Amino acid sequence: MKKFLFNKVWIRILQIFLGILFIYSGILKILNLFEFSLTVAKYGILPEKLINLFSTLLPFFELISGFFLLSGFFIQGASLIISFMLSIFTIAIIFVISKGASFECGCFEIFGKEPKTGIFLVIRNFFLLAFSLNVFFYGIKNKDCL
Amino acid sequence: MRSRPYQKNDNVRILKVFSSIIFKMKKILFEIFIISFISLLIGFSYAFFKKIDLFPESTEVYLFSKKYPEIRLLNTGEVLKIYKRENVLIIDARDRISYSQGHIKGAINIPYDEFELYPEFFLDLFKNDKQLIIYCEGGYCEQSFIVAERLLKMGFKNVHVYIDGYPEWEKKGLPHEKVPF
Repeated sequence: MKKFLFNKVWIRILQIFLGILFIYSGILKILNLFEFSLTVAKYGILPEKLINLFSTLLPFFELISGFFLLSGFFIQGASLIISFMLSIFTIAIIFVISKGASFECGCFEIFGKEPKTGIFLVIRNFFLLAFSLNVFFYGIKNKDCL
Repeated sequence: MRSRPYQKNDNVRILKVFSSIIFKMKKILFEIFIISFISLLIGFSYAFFKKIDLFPESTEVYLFSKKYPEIRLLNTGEVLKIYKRENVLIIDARDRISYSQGHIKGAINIPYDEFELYPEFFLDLFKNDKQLIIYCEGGYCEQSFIVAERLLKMGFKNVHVYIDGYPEWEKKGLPHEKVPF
């Protein structure tokens, strides 16, 4: 198992997968910035004054981290930022589920439809988080990592 | 069990491991700094060139007016001024239960989800010369905008959204009523 998780090909597949996913997610959010800001507001976590600032800058963090992960440069920093973002998203979704609310998550569309906040999203995020941490720890273990 | 006797080069080995950890941490922090710097630089530049107000006075009004630029937003004072006129139709876009628990006096109920599916069922209620004011729960409730956007697409022109919504109306003690569900 350990051999498989720290296999160079597997890590490269994860880098490409996460990189494309976050670039796609970032671009979608930038194209629909006000819609994304409204979704962030619906979560009801951030103070009113910070909603616009947060929702304007977050897509660029996704885009740039995704780009670095895909390019193979700074993969530890990029995977750590992605892990941090995924943890925050997961906590936010759990918070919404605990309130009994459900609305479009503001993450990214799958087959033209944006999923709603729910347990499916939490499970999906846990998998993505595991993948990005896998990439991060590979970087810690290997000296040849850029 | 006897431990291995202390050897002189143990210190060197510990120091090597320690310095390697420090080096890795420094490297990761440097990477995070570079990625964050680039993201912030592009993000702020984008906001500047697109003229995005990062700290608007009212985030709610700002975002809705940007997302639905064709819909005119009204606050409580503005609605109060016009709502008693004959040519005004007030529409409650919330579900039937919320409507029955309390609504603006004289408002009719057009649940947004039903209106989205069967807009033709409600067409008899509107006349093009009437001023339409639509509301829902206020805050970031989007139901009234969904109805308003559909009405605009159907060719109605006097479409407005009461942004503060029913809770604010009720809080201010303005005319409201309940109907049994």
